[in-house]
Amino acid sequence: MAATDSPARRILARLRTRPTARAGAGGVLVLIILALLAPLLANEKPLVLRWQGKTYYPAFRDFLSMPAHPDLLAAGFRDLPTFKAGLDAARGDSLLLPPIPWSPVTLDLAGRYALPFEGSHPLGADDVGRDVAARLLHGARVSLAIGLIAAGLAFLIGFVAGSAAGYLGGWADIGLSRLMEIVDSIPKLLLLLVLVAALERPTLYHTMAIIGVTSWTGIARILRGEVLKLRGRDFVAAARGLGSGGPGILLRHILPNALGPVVVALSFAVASAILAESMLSFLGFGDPNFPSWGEIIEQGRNHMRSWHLVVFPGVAVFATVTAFNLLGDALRDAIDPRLAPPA
Amino acid sequence: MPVPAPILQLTDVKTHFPIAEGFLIKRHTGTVKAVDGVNLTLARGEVLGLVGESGCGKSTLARTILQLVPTTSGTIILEGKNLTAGSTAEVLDARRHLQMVFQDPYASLNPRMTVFATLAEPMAVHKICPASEIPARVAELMTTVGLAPRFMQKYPHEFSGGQRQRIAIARALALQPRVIIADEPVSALDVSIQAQILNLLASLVKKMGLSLIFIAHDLSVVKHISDRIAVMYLGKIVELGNAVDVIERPLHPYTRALISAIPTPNPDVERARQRIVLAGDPPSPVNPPSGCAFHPRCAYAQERCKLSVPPLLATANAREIACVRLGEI
Repeated sequence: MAATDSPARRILARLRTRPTARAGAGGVLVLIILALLAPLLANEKPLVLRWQGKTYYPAFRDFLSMPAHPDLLAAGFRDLPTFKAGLDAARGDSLLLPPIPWSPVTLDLAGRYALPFEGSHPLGADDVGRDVAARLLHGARVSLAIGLIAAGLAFLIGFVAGSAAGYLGGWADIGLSRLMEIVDSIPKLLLLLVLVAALERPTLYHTMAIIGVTSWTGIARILRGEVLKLRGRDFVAAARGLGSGGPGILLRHILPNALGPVVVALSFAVASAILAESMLSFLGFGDPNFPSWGEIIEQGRNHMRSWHLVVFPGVAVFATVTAFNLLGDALRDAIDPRLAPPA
Repeated sequence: MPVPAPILQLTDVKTHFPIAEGFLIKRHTGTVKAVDGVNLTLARGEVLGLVGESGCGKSTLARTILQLVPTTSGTIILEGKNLTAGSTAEVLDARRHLQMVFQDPYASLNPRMTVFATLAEPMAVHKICPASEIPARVAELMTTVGLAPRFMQKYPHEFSGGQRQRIAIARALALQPRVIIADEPVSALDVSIQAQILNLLASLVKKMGLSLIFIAHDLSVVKHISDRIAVMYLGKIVELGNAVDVIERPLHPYTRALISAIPTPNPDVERARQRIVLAGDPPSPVNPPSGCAFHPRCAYAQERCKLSVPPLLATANAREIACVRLGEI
């Protein structure tokens, strides 16, 4: 019987038919893959190393967050020059390097402010000679994690607050709506700066939490309005007459119809969280242990000739934000059965 | 003629909505008396037509009977159980025997739910049958209302207005109710489809032994389907009687005006006949006129009509009229 055809499968089938959905989903997917594979794509440790008759995979150990192999540590292999110095071709030693033979933190003092394709830096290097391409790839991990986790947190708070305010009404609505206005009236960037400055050692997780708890109001407000509108619809009255209780009505009748605009708001929240993190890093309040797109742009600000320090991370931010917005837009259309192509 | 025991009995039902103004501190500034003292009985297997202008409280009365809006006072008794007495399990269970078909089938069906999900939900909520039997029962319901069960997995937007109203009727039937209240079930549909839905409702009443309250603002729709007709004006019933009597010998001046508004198909007759045209709009239910609420628009009004509210009095032939000049006009 066709009753087993799940809604999720229908939504996926509808997503597949839309070009913008494919572009958005494809873009997000490529970004996630690049971010995941960053230690294999940009690393000064070789992918494969033949040394003294044994084979090692130093970059893969990085990828799996494992410490370096004890043999190599004992031999003093730390960075690319030491790897190269320790090899003896006559013995049959060899190495295979990643496409970008730089880690995001390697300082190439000879290659400071290198322009694209100068030396072995495909996208150039920054003020202390760190490879821009390597930093972009590793920075994608930070940007995506911030975007998804901060927006996920904002969605969770906004979802609960918005549906409670819309469905319960009365004092719950008044209280939650005023709370949204209070949170909105605090300048977000200022609050971020104060909190980051107040923390002795701000980490990425602090940044995620701060962005999350300050940016849920948009989602909550949209959801509240939708729930309020749908609560008075005849099909909700019909469901009540048929004996459905409060939670059933909210979950089965109201929220599925309210989700469309919220999904769009969520995709914007991902995008704005990425921008907020870039801004923080640009102002120098990022987590110094992780490379970040905003931080690269900040360095470019001081040296106007080094256009590559602004353009490449800027394009990365732009492409990421666009991909999430396209995906959100397409998801909204896909979860609405009225916009489905005829089966 | 022996009077059969009523399945539904309304006694002095009032539904008032307070009007509140002000921010945070609300001031009570008035009351909308949408339903203001309705007495009504519905016999088993009977079709009662309820007519009246827009805004006279028909839909509010329907929602009050279903307890979708709370009653201000009065009792609604369905098969011996008082529906207005709180939310005990007994009352909640009694309410399922009372179902409603809404006016606009575009608004009364959840756009995100397939026909199957829409019809299966009430069965699952009330656990009226084992889950494994639900698909078969849904198919049976669809056949009952004239829809092919193969459309089970379609969404409401894939159906026409008439088909949607059939889905809405099937949903109302899912819990095997005793009484159905249809709130203008055909006024949102094409004229060509209206007759089909009316015939469907009439045949369901016969086949399943249902009682039906059929609400409309158009007497010509009501007269074909009803056993009795109640005429409502500004929250009160002003005339009640057997359908044929009310249509052919209207006694209340307001009913006469309503009936004269039914167009005649023959253009020569239509041109020649005298229509009673009511002046003005129905008065506001916030501030109703004194005495008989109809007096400002009534051609027969006298000074005494303004003094006291005329009670609904029984006359010959099981009719009830609320007019002090009954017999004079």
